[in-house]
Formats: sequence, structure tokens, C-alpha cells
Amino acid sequence: MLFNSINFAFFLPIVFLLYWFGTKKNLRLQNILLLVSSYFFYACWDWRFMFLLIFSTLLDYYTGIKIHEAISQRMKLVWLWISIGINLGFLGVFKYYNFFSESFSEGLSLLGLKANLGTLEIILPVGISFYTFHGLSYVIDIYKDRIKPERNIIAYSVFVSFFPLLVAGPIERATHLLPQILKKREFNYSKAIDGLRQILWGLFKKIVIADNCAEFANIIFNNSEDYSGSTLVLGALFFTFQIYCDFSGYSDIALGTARLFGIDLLRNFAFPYFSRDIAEFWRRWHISLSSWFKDYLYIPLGGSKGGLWLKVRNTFIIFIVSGFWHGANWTFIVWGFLNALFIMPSIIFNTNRNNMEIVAKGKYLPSIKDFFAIAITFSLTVFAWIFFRATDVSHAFSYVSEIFSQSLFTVPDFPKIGKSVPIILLTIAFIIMEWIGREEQFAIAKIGATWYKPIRWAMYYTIIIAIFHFTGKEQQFIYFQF
Amino acid sequence: MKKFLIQLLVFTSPLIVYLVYPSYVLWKSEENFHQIDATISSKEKYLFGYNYNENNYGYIKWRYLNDNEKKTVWALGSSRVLQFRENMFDKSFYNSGYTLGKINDFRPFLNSIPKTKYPDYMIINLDQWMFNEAFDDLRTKASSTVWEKSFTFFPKIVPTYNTIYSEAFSDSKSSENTIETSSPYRKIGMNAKRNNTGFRNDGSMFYGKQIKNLINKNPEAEDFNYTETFIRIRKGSSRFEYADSINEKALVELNELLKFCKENKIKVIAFLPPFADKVYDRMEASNKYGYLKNMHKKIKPLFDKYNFEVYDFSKMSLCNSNDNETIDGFHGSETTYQRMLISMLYSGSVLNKVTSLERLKTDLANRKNNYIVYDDEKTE
Repeated sequence: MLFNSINFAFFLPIVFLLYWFGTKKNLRLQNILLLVSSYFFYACWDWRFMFLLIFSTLLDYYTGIKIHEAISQRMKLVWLWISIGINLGFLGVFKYYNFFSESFSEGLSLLGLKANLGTLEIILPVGISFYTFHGLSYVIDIYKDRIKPERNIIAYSVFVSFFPLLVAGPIERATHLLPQILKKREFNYSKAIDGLRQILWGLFKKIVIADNCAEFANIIFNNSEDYSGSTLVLGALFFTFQIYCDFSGYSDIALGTARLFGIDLLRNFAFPYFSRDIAEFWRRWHISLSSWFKDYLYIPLGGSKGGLWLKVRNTFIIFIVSGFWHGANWTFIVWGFLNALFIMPSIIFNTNRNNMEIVAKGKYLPSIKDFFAIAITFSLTVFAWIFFRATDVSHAFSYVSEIFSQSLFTVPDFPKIGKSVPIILLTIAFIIMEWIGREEQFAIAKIGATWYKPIRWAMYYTIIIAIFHFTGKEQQFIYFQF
Repeated sequence: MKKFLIQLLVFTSPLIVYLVYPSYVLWKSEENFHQIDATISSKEKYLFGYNYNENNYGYIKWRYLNDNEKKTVWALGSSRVLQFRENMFDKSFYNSGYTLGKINDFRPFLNSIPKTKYPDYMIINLDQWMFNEAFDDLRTKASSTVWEKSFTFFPKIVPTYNTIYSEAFSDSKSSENTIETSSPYRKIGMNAKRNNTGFRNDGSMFYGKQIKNLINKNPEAEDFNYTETFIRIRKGSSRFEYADSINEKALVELNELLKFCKENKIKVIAFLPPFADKVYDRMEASNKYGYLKNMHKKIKPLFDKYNFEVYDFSKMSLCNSNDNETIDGFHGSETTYQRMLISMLYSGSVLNKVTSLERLKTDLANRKNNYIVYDDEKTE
């Protein structure tokens, strides 16, 4: 079930009304309802993979208790590795087996040897990367004595499967979400209104900006050999806004939906395209994944405590692993590698924590220095996205080489260029809205908050009309494939 | 909570009011809110005719070919292959026309179907404009997942809902204005219900209202006396763009398609589909369609190379038909296609293995009218 579908428009109000009126605000009943509706939500994709989700939940629930109860450190470690092994095993089979098999065969053929391990004709269970990481953080936290295992199976299952975050995050932590699931929840008017506002903004980002940009990005990327450098730059820009609005739009809808049920999820995006360096970008892009890798990979590897060489090595490791998390393709690995490369100056010169606050806080415009810093960071990001979007690495290289040719200085041209103009203008308007609202949780959180109600509602209606009017060709959320 | 619900209700009430009527119309006509998978695989006679969701046709045909047993003969191409019917063949047949419109759509479509379902014989129409660079510069390729994803269960609010409102206030196309016939078909979609027009179980197209209008010489018939086609020719637009020579890139792609078919043991029988004689003559007289000249001569060597067949039926008279058997300026009727098939069989086509010349001739002689050979439904 897609967030931007009519199915969801029916599903959400029904669950909402049952949640607040059908359960008499009984916490246990509320949690059971959330669990049942989350499983229904997931089953709408493919009911067969429900068993995998339930198995993964039970596995981490059980191993969590076993780790806690184990008397010796050795037994704790055994249970931890059972959980990690099985979780990553599933991920490996479903997501990475074909990649490793093909890469191994290709590698051998380069050496003149022949091997064919065969490939599996299986589809990737939606959300597997997300709920696997949920479970992993839970058992690791128990092993590290940060939390105690949750013995209430319903509450724990809701933590893993809560439908707003089930298929594309944010990747939650037990320390943040479980206490909310275990606490009695009261309806909060302003939280619910804020949630609706965030859902509206998320839908605008996804339906108006992302889906429309996707149409043009697909045309240009799928036929890149036919286009000039300037058109390819335009294609890369379309994809840059597509992926941001697609994923952050999804996150906005997820966060807004959770708020309707009195639950706050982790923030996942904080206006990343206004970052002044790549380190800041990664503190603002897919925050829940970046912090997951930091806490469960970077720090255990030694983090930044062991001197410059260790810091550099660990940075490359987490970026490459992060790239690989996105998918079994060399393009993602190169994308991760590029980001590691771009962040290196900040790591080497220890300036990675220079820009902690949002740019130009309390001001209308950035300083000239900040403006150029944003432009450079944005350009590097766009460049890296080419590798992320390309079908394979050679496609990415030919795309890039065509950009850096004389045709860069021609007027962009592709079959639907006329149709793209309104979308470009809308994207510019969107950037302005994001700039105005950059100090808040999401762009329209406070815009119009103090306005006379009919004017504020007129603004919301304008957004709704834009959603109706500019409905692009419906595209699956990009991150569902990860 | 009460305050929240009241605010929400007040805020959304204009939206709800706006959405109710068109949603009802779409639901009632089964244009949307209708799961079609069960219908596609059912044995009941159906007619899928959409007004706002023409993309669904691609899904219907893709689904049919994927879900059913392999068919011996396929017709594949644009709307100009749709008049081949199951009744014309002795072996199993499916018409997957209207799934594509450009030369480089063929291979992605074939790739979207399991190889085990590929036919032994595939009749394809090569629309003349597929070789016209001004119409298709071959810069866009379809992905092989296009057809699978082309079904629309829920309506697109805009422009569909706005159109329904504007039609509700016009007499001619009101949703209540449907053609009542004693039809053997279960009709799904607004075009089927209103105009008795749509796709049959074998994938072929039934032009109910259009044929009725043509028989009655009703000027409300689409492209009556080819007026709309002539406008296209005058403007050089909408598939009638001017071009002097054949797009060589299209020939390269055609070669790839034929090679693909050879590799997959599919025997290809291609044809250049007919324009009305009057239309073709007008195009020829304009001297703006140089690419049409010698088209058959240019593509034939490619077919010879793979031992496949290609026929030139660019005008009605080339297949012993005439303008009285056209649906519009560039679509022949079922009768035309029956004649075309007979011409192919006379030329010694491999299709002789899957149908009988004598039977086709008898059926043609006993045809229902100028447009229909095999009777299903009242059209007069």
C-alpha cells in the first residue's frame, strides 16, 4: 500500500478512528490494533513475506531475552551472533546473493576461469533492510547493556512493524520508540494538526515534485547517449530533486502519520541541500541511517579516536557499506566511495563539525561565503547522484564524460522539455518554501501559523490543488527497493 | 479530539463534495475501482472499453499473455493490427495490438513476456510513421515493465474528475447517455458502456458505435469522410508529419527485432497497414511524404535475410479492399483484414499452416456487412 494511494486514504482514517474510539484508549488494545493494521499494511504488498517479518521479529525478541539472561559473556556473544548471522543471512540471500554470485563469476572470467554459481529468481521483500536494521540495533543495544529486553511481545512487534516506518524507515531505535509504545498515549490536538500538515507537505513533495521530476530524469538517464552535456546536467538535477522529494516526502508522511497516533518518530531529513559541506550534508540526509552506521559501525571500529589514518579508514568503510546497503550494485558502492572522498577534507582538517547549525539562522539570506559553500556542496552531491541513478558504472562514466564535453554549452533539449518548464518553476518555488521553513522540522511547519485561519487554509488548499493538478505519473517510492 | 474531527471535517468537506459525483460515475461504469484480473482470465465474453484509462489496455494484454497458455499466433503492434480475430485462425490466437506504437517498443514488450509463451507465428503491423524521424526520433525506449505497471485502479483526480463534471453539463457525452443493445458482452469501462466499443476476449477491437454510425452514414461518425485525417495531412501533425526519407535508425531497430524473433523461433509476418485510398492519394499528391515511397522495397531485404515475410498493404486497394470498408482514414475494418489475410495466403504465406484459405473466402462471402465478417452483436 503506497502512502500516496487512495487505498491509504481509506486505510488511515479507519485505523485512526478505531485507535482513538474503538479501543477506549486501552494501551494494550491500541497496540494490538497497531500491530494488526501494520501486518495488514505489509500484507498488501505481498502476504508471503509476512512470515519473514514475523520470523525476524520473533528471532530478535527471543535472542534479545537470551542475551540478557546469559550468565557468561561468551554466551551473550553467541546469542548476539546468532541474531546477527540469521538477520544478515536473510538480507544476504534476498538482497545480495545474485550480486555476489555474478561478481564472483565475472571476477573469475577476468582470470580466464569459468564459474557459474547461478542466480536466484527471487523478489526483494519490501522493507527488509529497514526492519533488519531495527532488529539489529535492538539486540546490539541489549548486548551493550544500553537497554533491557522487552518482554511484551505485542509492544516489541509494534516497535518492529509500526506501519508508518515499516517499509522505508526512519530506522528507529528501541531507546526512542519502545518507551513511547509502552506509555499510555493521549490524543494531542496540536500534534495531530502538525502531523496532518506534515503529511500534506510530504504528499506535495512526492506527488508534485518527485514524480514529475522522475518522468524527465528517466527519459534523460534511459537515453543518455543521445543527449548533450547540458541536457544531462538537467537530467542529474531532476534526479537530485526526485530522490530528495521522494524519500524525504515519504519520511514526512511517515512522521506525520505516526503523530496522529501520538508517536514521534526520529527525524530523517533536515534540509540537506542547504548544507555547506559534505559532513553537514550527511548530518541532514537520511539521518536515521547515518546515525545507525555511526553508532553501530563507525564507533565500534574505533571511530575518530585512533589517529588520522584510522579515522580515514573508518570513514571509507562506513560510506562504502552505506552505499552497499542501498543495493547490490557497484553504482551504489562507487556512490558511497565518492561521498567518502568528498568528506575527506573535513576529516583531514578536522572541520567536519564546523557547520552544526542550519545556515543563516535568523536571517533571510545566506552570506556570500555560505552561498558558495552551499553551491559547491550541492554540485558535489549532484555529481554523486549520477552514479546512484545510473544503470551501471560504465553508464555513469559515459554520462559524466558527456557532461564534460563541448555540448555542455548548448541549450538543453529532450522530447518533453516544454512540459518540464512548469515543473522546473514549481521546483524553484519548492526550494524557496524549504528555505523559508528551514529552521523548523519541515518546511510548512510554521509558515502561516500566525495567519488568519481562512488565509492559512487557502494556502493549504493551494497545495492540495497543486497536488491534484500536477499529479505526475505515479512512481514507486525509490527507497522501497532498498 | 472532537475539535480536531470537526476542523478536519470542515476543512475536507469541499474536497469530499468535489470527489463524490465523479467517483460514483467511475465506479458505476467500472472505468475505475474495478479489479480486472479475474475478468481477464474468466471465460465470460467481455468488452473492455475505457474512456480515461486507455493505458489499462496494455496491462490487460500483458496480463492475458502472461496468465494463459501459449498461443500459436499473435498479432502485435498498434491499433492498426486490431482487426485480426480469433475466428480467422484454426490455431489458438491472441491479438496483442494497441500495446505499442513505435518500432523500438516491440522488443521491450516481448521481453516482458516469458519466452515459453512466445508464439510460433507473429503478425506485426509496421505503421509507416514508425519510420518517420519527424514522428519518432527513437530517442525514447519503453522499459519492459511499462505494461505490467500500466493498470489504473484508482482514477487520476485531474483531469478525469474535471472532465466528468464538464461532460455532466453537456448532453452528448453525459454518463447517462449509453447505447442500449442486447449485447452478449459484459461491458467494462465508459467507452464500452456508452459507445459499445472495446476489446474482446481475443484482444481484437470492436468499434460498435462507429460502425453503427458508418452504416447509417451518420456524420457523427469519427473522421467522417476522413475530414480529421485530411486536417492532419494539411497540418503535417499527429502521425502525419512530413518527411522525405526513411529514418535509418528505425531500420537498424527493425533488424534487431527480426534477429530477436529468429533467435526465439518466432516466424514474423509483417505488413504495412492500409490508409484509405483517398487518404493515401492525398498524401502522395502533396509530395511531402517522400519516406513512404519505396518503403516496402527498403525493408524487404531485412525480412529476406531472416526468411520472414513482409507485405505492402499501404492502401486499401492493395489488399482488394476499398474505402467503403474503412473505419477511418487509417484503420481498415475486419473485412479489410480478412482480405489482407487472404492475400497473404494466396502469396504462399506460412500462415497457411494455421488457417484455411477456402474457409476464409467462404466467411468473407457470407460477411455480415462492409465492416464485420463474424457476427457477435447487433450493430445496424
